[in-house]
Amino acid sequence: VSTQSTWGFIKIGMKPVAKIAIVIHGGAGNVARNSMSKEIAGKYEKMLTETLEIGYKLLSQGGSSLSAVEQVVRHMEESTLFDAGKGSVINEKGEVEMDSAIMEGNTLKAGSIACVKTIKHPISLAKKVMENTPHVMLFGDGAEKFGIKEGLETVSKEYFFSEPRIWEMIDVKPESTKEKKLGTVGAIALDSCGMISAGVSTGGTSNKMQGRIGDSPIIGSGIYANSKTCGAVCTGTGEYFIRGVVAHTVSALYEYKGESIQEAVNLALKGKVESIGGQGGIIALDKTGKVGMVYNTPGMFRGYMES
Amino acid sequence: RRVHGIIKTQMESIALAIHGGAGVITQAKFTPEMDKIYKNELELALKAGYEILIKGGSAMNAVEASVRYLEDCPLFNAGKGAVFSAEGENELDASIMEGHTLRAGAIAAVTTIKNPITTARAVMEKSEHVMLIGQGAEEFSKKMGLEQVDPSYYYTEERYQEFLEAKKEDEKKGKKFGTVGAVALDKFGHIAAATSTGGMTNKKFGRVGGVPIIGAGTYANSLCGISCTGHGEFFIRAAVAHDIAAIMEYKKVSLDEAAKEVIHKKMIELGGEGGIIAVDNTGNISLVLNTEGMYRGFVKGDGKYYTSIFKDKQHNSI
Repeated sequence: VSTQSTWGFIKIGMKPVAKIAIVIHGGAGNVARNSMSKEIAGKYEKMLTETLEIGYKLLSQGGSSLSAVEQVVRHMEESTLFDAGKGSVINEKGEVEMDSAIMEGNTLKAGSIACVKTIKHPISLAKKVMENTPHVMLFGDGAEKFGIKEGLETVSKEYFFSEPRIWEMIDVKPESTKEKKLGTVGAIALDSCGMISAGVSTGGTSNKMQGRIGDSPIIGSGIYANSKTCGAVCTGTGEYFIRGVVAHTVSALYEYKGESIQEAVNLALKGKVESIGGQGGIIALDKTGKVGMVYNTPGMFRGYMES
Repeated sequence: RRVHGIIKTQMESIALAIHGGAGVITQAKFTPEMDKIYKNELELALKAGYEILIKGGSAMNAVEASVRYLEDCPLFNAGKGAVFSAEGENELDASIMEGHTLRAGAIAAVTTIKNPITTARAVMEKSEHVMLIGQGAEEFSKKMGLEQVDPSYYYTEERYQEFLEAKKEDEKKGKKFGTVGAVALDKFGHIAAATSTGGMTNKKFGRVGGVPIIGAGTYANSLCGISCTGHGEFFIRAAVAHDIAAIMEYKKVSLDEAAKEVIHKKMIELGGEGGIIAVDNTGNISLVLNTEGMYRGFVKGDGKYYTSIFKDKQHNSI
């Protein structure tokens, strides 16, 4: 853990270097140290490190936090290890429906998509909505058609299925909702211009109803970014995070109560999620590059890299 | 004296506010006849909710009743009278939230549900989820036995003409964004908020606005309840309903102060138009707008109805 300057700058030699940082998570849930084999744990560590390096490299070359977040989430969408893109869980109809959102903290512009089935990288579609439409959120066929028009890559619906998920669904049906494996991915980055961006992508919860929307594509609930305060992304049983408007709560506690970023995520999880019976985790990154992380599940895949 | 004091407190502690949309209304084009008609409808919508509250009914029942009235009324952009999307269709959204439990329900992009707010409440009370969209929401509504209609039910000539106009002017950003909503405080001290809409005229296929987004168009907790109307995208990006509640709670200011900070300051900086209605747990009501008008009204324990349309100095915060 590095010591962090409160002004967001670190001196290297005589040249002040702006603070950059990237924080990611691969989902909170029923993943405990003793329930996971060393082999699988190794796979996850490798993937998280790889992902962080991709994002950090971009930032260290002066790239924007928005690009970093998109690239990092794309990388995790491609992996079958997470409940996002490839490897997404299956809904009650045996289909994959994915949600994603991205937010840019300087202008508070945001893009969000829900219930898409054939767009290979949902995070990139969310970014297109943000940049190329006057809207914030598109869903379903409308979102897909727009993505195709924008030249985004589409794949067959089966592309997203990955064996572990199919077994999970068979396990979950018919009534069992225990042991929900919660595996959304999320990322927040701070670039050398001081801009904070955040991104999330998910396949949702196992056996969810068709058309069910969780917290991930809901700006303020699963994701929020404001360069004047912080960025926050969440993972867990989405319904609780919507009711708690959790990501925005983190920013509000930081801004209006002057809480530190770690205290803000702690209070948000406890007061807005745990208090109503929810489970999950939050990662956050404030404007000075300080990281906050909290979860009330057995585990949460996570990592960060900073200058 | 004590007995009278208790009755008095019970009566005074109920409060209900409604809105029928902000933005659209140009004072110049508004005739006295229209003024009378709209105010009458607003009063009837208030009555629907008030009669529940005064008999000791819940805030949830009151807001649902008021919003159902406004959905059924063709004058407002919700339920019947909904605006048309770019495809020439009606797609409706609604959300509802129960403050003391933080339970919430929302639906979006439905085309055959007569009262979207009732389905949103069913999502909250009868499903494991908070938000359902499109076909999934419609199937759920049918399964719950809620009233379905033919997509043509929502049609009104006026809205259709607006749609044709908007199509002609092509990328003219639908200034015709109306919405309806209600917030209430019941005799138990519980708060509820509800919002319903047909969205934005000429909206892009698949566009979801601020109304079904908890924290953006609707929010309620044990301190306050808020329902919003306006240019939805801005309400989402600024998490308006939740921001008002957060400012009130964390900065320890009044509801009205919090609402004004968001609508008169932050939203204007961001470039967003619209308004809100809000109630707190002591019965204070706040109606704040940054547009020329917002159909609105409120009633408290004394049963006196107040309705307003334009941005005047009266009846903006009590």
